[in-house]
Amino acid sequence: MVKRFDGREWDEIRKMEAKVGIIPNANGSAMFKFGDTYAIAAVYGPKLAKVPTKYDKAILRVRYNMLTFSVPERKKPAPSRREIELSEVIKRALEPAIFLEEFPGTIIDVYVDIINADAGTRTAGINAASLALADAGIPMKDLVVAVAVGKVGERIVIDLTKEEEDYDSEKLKGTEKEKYIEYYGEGKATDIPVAIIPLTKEFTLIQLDGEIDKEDLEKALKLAQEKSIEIRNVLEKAIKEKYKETKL
Amino acid sequence: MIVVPGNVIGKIGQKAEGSYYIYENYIISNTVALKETKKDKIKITPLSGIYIPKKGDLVIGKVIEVYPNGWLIDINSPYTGFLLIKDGVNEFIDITKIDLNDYYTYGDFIVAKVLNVMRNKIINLTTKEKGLGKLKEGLVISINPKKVPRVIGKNASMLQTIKQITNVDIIVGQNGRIWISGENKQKELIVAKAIYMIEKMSHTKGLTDKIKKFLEEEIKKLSNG
Repeated sequence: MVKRFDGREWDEIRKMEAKVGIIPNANGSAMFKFGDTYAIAAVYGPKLAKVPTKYDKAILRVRYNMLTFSVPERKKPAPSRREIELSEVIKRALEPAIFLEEFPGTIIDVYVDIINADAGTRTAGINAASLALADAGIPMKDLVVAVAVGKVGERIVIDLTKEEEDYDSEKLKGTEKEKYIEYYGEGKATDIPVAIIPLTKEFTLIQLDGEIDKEDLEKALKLAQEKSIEIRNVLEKAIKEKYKETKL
Repeated sequence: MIVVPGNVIGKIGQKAEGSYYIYENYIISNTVALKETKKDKIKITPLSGIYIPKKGDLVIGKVIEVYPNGWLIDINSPYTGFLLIKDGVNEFIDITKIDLNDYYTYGDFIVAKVLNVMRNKIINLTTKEKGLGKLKEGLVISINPKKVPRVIGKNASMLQTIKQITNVDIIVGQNGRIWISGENKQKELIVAKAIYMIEKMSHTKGLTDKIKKFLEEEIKKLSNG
């Protein structure tokens, strides 16, 4: 029986790992792993805003950065168009979950760094950032959970790897990976990173790269909603691990 | 029990105290917090976070700026406090002749009370009450503001224990700054160590006894030379 490139089932997420409180200087910090994708996040603040602000809520500032050694070929250290865009995307994914109105006139700085990239860096980044925000004691509706869903060939799968993102059945024909066409089907891959507030089941981020029809999109989003609970449990466990020694 | 943001703590109608919000008939935690249930009342104490000033809080502040009409005070919070001359000095002073630095100057630590929190988060402080004013000697240490209730303890039991064993003066500011003053530096440092221990091991069982034992041992060592 042929399975996915890395032997997973269609609804199986890569091995997840999370840890809280890894950066002593920061008010809150965390790391999150989706297989080989490794993200760390640090939160500083709330601190007084030096720029003039409206005194009704705090400003959330996110900087997403991929380290030079995170990809096989050296990445230029200067922020690229993609990184600036993803910073904004992550900010908008986190903002609806935070009670920003509790700290008017302040800034909350979130730094997301990708140490090793193997697809799904923004989702791993959002998971790490929401853990770090919780660790910093910033009031939130819920831990924001992010995961990528998508359609590879004709099959809906969760948590795509780089290999699956680049899937193209035409190119695989005649190579040793031809047998995978049987599993995935003809066509190319569509990647949909989503972020969810598990409590209210609201989506705070949906991006779509590729083509997908309405029914499949609904199926994919539903899969993400179901699986968000599983990821949230991993995050919750990571926070509780920090306070393991706490007894009542 | 430790709760994280988004965890359901109870149903609407139950008495709750601390940090939470309401969503569809449920009481939901909004921070990483400790949940305690006593009778039918739920208490939710956040485990980390910053200090947000409230009216009536006792704080230990540091003078960071001297203005013609008062002093700007850092109170270990995103918001800075302001101490007006009328709230900081008891007698009439002629500001054309007197230098405000003579009262409080850069780097001075003061004990103050939050008089008022304005809507735009300007914090007015006062030192015009008994026990407030400049701190002249001693040691000021800083801990996580959310751990302050543990340092004080139930009915100030922890504070009393420390004071009894070591015979030092302690003022605990709600903003996480603690002033310690004893007969010598070594004693002050021992107390500082004990307070850092409380911060680290807060919420563990039998903490008061552990601290008591630690302090007694350290004091014994000190008196033996």
